[in-house]
Amino acid sequence: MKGSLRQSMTWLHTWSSIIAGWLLFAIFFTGTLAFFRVEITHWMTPEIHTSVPNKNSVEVAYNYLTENAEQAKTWQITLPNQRARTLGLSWQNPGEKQERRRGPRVIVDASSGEEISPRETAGGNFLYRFHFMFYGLPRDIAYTMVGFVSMLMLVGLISGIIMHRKIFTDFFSFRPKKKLLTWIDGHAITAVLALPFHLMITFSGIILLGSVLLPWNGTIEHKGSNNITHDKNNRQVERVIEKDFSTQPPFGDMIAYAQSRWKTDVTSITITAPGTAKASYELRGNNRETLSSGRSGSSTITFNHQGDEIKTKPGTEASNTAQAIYNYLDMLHQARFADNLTRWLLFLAGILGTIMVGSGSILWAVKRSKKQMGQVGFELVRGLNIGSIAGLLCACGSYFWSNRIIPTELANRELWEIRTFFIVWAICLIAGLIWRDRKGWLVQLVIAAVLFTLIPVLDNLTSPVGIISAIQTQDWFRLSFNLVALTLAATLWLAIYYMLVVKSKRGRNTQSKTIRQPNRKLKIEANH
Amino acid sequence: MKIKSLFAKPAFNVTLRTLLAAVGGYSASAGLSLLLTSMMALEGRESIVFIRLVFLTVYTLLIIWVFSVNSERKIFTQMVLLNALLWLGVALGIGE
Repeated sequence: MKGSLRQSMTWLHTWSSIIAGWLLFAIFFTGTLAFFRVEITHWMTPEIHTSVPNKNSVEVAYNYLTENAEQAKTWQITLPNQRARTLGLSWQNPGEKQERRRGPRVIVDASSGEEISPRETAGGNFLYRFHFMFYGLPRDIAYTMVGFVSMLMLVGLISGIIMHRKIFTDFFSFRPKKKLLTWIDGHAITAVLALPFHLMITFSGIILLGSVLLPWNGTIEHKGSNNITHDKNNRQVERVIEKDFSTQPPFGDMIAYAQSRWKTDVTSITITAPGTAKASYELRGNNRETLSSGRSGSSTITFNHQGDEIKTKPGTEASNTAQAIYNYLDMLHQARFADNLTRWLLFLAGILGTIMVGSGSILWAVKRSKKQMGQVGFELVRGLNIGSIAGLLCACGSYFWSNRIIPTELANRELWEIRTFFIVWAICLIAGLIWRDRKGWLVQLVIAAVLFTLIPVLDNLTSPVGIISAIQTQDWFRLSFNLVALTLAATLWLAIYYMLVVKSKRGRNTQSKTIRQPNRKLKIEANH
Repeated sequence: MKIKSLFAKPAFNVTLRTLLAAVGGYSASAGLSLLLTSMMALEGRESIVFIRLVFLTVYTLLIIWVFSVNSERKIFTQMVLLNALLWLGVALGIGE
């Protein structure tokens, strides 16, 4: 464009971002929540709150399977781990086709061994899926839309870096109480603080959508998704096999051995031919050593019934450099490698990204408020900002509320959760377009703040396990969810306080100043 | 209308640049990534991943480049030339 490089980059940054801003905010917000989608689903299924993991969980699982799936060819036990407090059990009966399931066949209480039937919920998965394919749109269209705005985001990031005269100084400057400058500094700080994250998450996000953006270039099938082995002996007459479950294998020793070798927890055990002389126990953990090896990069150890190690299988390696880079980006984007601390750090970086996108859109409007007030384009942005930022928070809050309020026996109740989300969001978007001023912001912020403030109360009232016992049994997933809700609520209340008290006070001050000035002039004139 | 007066219109310039960046950039990055893949004799899964990585990096840089040059005519000519060269290379099968 005309002018210096910085000027043309500022132009590009402004316009590429404002087009994508609202969708990007939703993508960033739901995507950030999706780092904890398993934990969110845990909160959203109060029936499983009763399950408390203990040392004997694996024996509990074994006993359940001996009673309920004696004749099965294989058993699979997902143990309570960093991200689960229940036992997930699956098995394959003789003559049964191996199906690819989303989750386990049954969920079992990790200490009592009772089967749990959790409510139908869209859970954290809805937020996860929404962030890259929205909802109810054909996959290709949704991917193209997400890919398009992500591309604009990447362009916005690069041009945003170039347009800074002194990026290092800008990093340390925050000038509060100066409307426009405050927004600019806030936008820049959130951007620069987590810049590597922003670049990584945007770049890897687009790479993951590559099959739709580059339709001429084929698709990458993930290993493991296509190799469902169908049982050739389907038509074989099923015979009952005599099985002996009188002695339990030494699970404790196996797990201790694997954990000491991997320095990380065992997450699942696959048992082949259980109850026979050939029974083998394959232990898996989150023990991959390199990110570049991708999803199937964990090694496994197999034991026999006596607890002797009979086989170790190393994780697969990436076959070439390009594949290694792809795996790396895939693992980074989805935080598949992350332990709790890293996950929280990524979550924090995601929050900064969300604030960066939101503050950018607001900044656009604040900057133009004096000159363009009343123009269609400006008013549209101003209105959409309210619905897409405050409105999305209201929609998310209502989504969590609907999860606890919609009766569990209602058919398709998970659909009603999703409908609640979209209905509330649509109302907020329309309301934002109608009331585009400070009041519009205030009303939606207050609604969101109230929803999130009361989430712990709602949780306490509608879960079979109270918050106090959750503290006693150290249900950190649930407690953290409530704490994050409270933190978000506190931030919202702070924003409301700022808008109501601080801003109006300052408004009054500037008003009185402008009234006083002419008086002084008059006095001076009178003196003359 | 004369071309000169057309270039004087801001709306025309912005549209032209956006098209040059979005379409011209897309086709040039596609051409370059295809050319490099055949020059490096990559195949199958490896070539798919390689193309994705190169394409995205080059596309982003080209978009930035289109908006950083002052003269619309200059960038128009350069983008057309770049595309022509790259796709000529692909068509001639350089590296195969």
